[in-house]
Amino acid sequence: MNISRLWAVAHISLWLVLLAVFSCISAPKIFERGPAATPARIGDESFHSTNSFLEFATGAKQASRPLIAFFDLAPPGAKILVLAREDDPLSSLLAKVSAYLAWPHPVEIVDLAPARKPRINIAALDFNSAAEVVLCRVDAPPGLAPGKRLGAGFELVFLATSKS
Amino acid sequence: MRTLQILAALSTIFAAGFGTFGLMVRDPRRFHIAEQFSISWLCGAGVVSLSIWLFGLFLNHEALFVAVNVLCVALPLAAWKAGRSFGFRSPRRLNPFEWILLLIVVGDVLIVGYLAFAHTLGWDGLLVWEIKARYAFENSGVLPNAYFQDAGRAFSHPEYPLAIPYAELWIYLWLGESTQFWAKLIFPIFYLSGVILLVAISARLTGKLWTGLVAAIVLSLIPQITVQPGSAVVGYADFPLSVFYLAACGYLLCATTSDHADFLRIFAACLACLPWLKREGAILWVIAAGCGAFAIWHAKKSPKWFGILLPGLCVIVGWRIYLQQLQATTAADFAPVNFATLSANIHRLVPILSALAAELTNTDNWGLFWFIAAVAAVYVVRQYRDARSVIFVTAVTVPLTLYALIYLFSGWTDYQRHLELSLCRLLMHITPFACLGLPAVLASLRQKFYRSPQETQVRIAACEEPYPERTPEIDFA
Repeated sequence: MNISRLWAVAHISLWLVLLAVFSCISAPKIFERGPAATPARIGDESFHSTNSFLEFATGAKQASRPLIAFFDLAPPGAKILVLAREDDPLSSLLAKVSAYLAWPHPVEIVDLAPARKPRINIAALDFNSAAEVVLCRVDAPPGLAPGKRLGAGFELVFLATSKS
Repeated sequence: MRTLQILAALSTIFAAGFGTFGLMVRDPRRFHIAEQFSISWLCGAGVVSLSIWLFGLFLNHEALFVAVNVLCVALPLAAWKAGRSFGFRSPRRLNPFEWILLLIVVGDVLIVGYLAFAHTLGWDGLLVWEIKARYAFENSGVLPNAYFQDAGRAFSHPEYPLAIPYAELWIYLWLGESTQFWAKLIFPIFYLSGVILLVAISARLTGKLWTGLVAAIVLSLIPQITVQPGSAVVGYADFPLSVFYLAACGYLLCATTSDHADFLRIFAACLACLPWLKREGAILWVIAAGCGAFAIWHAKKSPKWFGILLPGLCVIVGWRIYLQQLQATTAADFAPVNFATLSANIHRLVPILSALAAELTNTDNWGLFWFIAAVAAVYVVRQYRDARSVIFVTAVTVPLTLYALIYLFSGWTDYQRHLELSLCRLLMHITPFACLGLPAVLASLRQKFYRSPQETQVRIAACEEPYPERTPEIDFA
């Protein structure tokens, strides 16, 4: 076998090894995560993802439609106030899913994270401008009437009948 | 009934795409049927989403639905009336090695399809993309103006373009309801299209089908593409954008080796869709358009060919004007791009480059992919030594550089968190295209092995290229 043929064999071997190492590194990671994706029960096709998110964050099953029904209690055009903490991923997720489901009501997401600058003074919040308040893994502000719990750390408070 | 509705939704997208393909391409028999399927899907998704947006400026409800359906049917009819021939290149017999590789690729695609339906939509898949489809569906097929001005929903990036949401909306319009489960249907089709185009373009460039099949297997083994957050299966726009970029730049590479204008026309169509997929698509458009301009200039084509860059520019400008007219709110992810911001944030440069290096070597997301891609890029440059190597290197390295540098303008207080959350998804945009380097390596290895030294010397003495191309399309056919 001449030198150039040897060089070619070495070259090909190098690439075979490289591709084999690539496969050995990547394949386990894919098989590790792939089976984790056991099919979520389809349930309500319309809210397949939001139901899954809400169940993940609060434990409440099939919670999207009850949440929409709660938002529908507010007068058309009335604002929904969502209190959450951006430094808590679950709280942030709940706030955004609430905003998603609250359409067509306008929403205001208030970030109560202690590290937020400028920090929001919860006592100074104006609840008169909102028809409903959603508490996403945050303590209820003083003076706010207790609401309806929809899973752990997720509370819905109906404030008034005709604020807009 | 539901199956029929879904089939109708997909068929109309394919019909629109096939009609567009038929109108663009002079000789469809140069394209394999699988390649036509993929190009039709990409063109169809672009045409249907753009037409919903444009017709939606004047129509809504059933009128909008009927108008878009009429367009979907009219496009293939127009291609037929224009005298364009339909047909495709007959597949050639595969050898046993290619059959084995093909079966692995088919298995990969089936697994990705399964994963797409096993997963829910991801965070952005739901809260940035599907949200627009749902709100548009609830507002008679048109995104309400109030949504664009809604500061409370700025997290959902109302300013992002509408290719993905309106492709999902098209399924909703056919189903008569918005369903998060069926919205996911389009993503495995984008994956399948990407795989087919990777194989087809590789085969065209190297003349070897098996090299493209190996590249497709490598693509499926990248965790960030198939299983990580933001992957091809969770409803994000990043993977579809990467498929359009692969198609645009891949067919541009084909155009540099062939005098056939059809490749340039497909390049133009996919180029125009880039800024319609995602905001970063405008950056990719600039790079791909630059490569296209270089290819046209290098091939000394008529200046009229520079006109193929205009449709994408129209999309960018049209969308900007639309957002300005609506006074759309924008999420403050980035500060204004100006010299003051640059000088204020220049201290971020080293941490950003470190983060980029860390991401490229992150085996959890990429395995050894970027190492292999870098070595393969060296092979491409050594092997092609013409406009193709310039285009390939530019189309891979410039987006990498620009994507890193945009974090100099990050509006996040913790810009490193911003990097950490989004850089891996930005790198996805160029991943399928970067895979094209691997077939070049594999083809050259085979040539190295089978060529005798005497043959090499004769070729060099005769001033032939050391690694002459076979007629690439013969092998793919």
